[in-house]
Amino acid sequence: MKVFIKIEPGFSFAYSEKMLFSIPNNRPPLLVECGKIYGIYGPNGSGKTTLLNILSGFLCPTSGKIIYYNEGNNNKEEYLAKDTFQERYSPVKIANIGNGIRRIYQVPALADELTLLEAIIIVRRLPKIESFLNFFNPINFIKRLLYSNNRAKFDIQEAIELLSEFGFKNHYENVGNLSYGERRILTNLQMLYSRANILFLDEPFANIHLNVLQQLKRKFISYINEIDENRSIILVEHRSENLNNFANNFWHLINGKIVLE
Amino acid sequence: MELIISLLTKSGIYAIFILSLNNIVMGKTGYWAVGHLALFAFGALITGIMTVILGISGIFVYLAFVISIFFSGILSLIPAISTLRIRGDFFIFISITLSEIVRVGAEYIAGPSGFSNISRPLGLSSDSSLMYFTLLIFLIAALYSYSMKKHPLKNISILARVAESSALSFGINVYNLRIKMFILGGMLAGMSGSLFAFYSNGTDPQRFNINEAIMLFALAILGGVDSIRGTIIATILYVITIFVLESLFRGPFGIYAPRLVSIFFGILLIFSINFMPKGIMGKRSI
Repeated sequence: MKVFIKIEPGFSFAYSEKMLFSIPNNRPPLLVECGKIYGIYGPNGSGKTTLLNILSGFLCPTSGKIIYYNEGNNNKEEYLAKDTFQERYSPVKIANIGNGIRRIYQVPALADELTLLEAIIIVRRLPKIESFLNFFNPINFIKRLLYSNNRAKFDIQEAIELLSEFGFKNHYENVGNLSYGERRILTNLQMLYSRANILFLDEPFANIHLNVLQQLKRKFISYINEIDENRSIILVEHRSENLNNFANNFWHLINGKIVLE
Repeated sequence: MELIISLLTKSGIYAIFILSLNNIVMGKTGYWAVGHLALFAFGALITGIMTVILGISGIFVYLAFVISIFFSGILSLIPAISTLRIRGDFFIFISITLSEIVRVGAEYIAGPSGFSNISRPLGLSSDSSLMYFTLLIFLIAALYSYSMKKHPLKNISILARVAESSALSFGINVYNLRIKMFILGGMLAGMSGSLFAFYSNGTDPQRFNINEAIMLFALAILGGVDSIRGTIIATILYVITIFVLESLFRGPFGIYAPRLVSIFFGILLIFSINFMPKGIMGKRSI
């Protein structure tokens, strides 16, 4: 099985003095393999969200290191350990490993001024089109003034299909008009659209209606089982009924340890 | 006719400056660059140093023009890099401090009344040619700014401004983008400052002080953040009001006439924030 992320033994994280969790030196490393869904669960304050923050590069481990296997770049290994990356650039660097690593937050972080379509399309990175040099290129400048859109058509079509499937009729509505639950669905759709290798989902199914929830779960399962794609999902969830029939590996955070089940 | 040419040139120069402030720096990064006039002053100062102290003339003045744009870009790295650590109100202090430093520096280098006899580049020595040149630069800058609406960079800058954590986790290098926007805005402001030095043949320190910086910032808000039409309206309002009020009050109030202009704009800003928080043409309130 292809491994994406390896959390080496000796890894630990502590907020100043409070030790949150660690992997003892005599244990096997924690692996994230493709085609699997990992569920993180544990009591409040056990550090589930913190673990996701570490994995996505917003925090650095106190000791030990995390290795990311970058398949797109000649299998180059990127790793996250104390003082490896400059603090502010590591989330960006990690998000661009391989086909990408994307995450959603407990509270949806969306830009109200964007339309639903724009909010979904922005998830994929197109470095050549989005660069500053491309913006100043006079040929592209004239093209922009004459034509309306230079985004690939099929990209938009895919996003529109995804939105219609989940009952968003007006794709040109502003995100600001959505309710809290609809925002949560929208963040899930962003993840489904992203084509990323790994998705970190922080309580993705809270405040979502049961029917839509089942639909989302089916979508996520077909997302990771897509042929010729190496994908996996790590999610944090409180309610065990949301994890059953969905996640197939469990990381239990308890008493400062990460226990595999 | 001379009056119209003079007013149009002035409008063009301030339109470039306000475009750089409310469309690029404030519009794209969301930072309140109150002291953005520092870069305008710096552009004018470098042009003055090159032409008066170093004595460059003829076609080489274009070189001075390019160099002053380049150095303004470098100076704008100071506010740009400070945004990595500082946000919100604290940035305003940095910005105002920078504008004061540049003003004092200009006074030290150029003397209390600024440079005089700045030579214009070859081919722009007449007033009308300078007007065409200024308006052409504004047109190009405004069209580029307009075309950003159809570039992915627009949505990316919105996400980076509103939901920074989300942008980071989508692989957008927010800090890099912000620094580039600041440099772009700084270069445009420096360009307008250099043009102002050519236009007035000197660097009048009255035009670089903190009152002027706040007044132009207020005008950028009044016109509407992230709006090109708002920029044009605000600029015309500024140039014409100053001209009318100063020529009206010059007789009875003498040297106090410019201060009356400040009072007028102060009242206008209060009304605008109360009744038009989005500005005249803006789509979002700041």
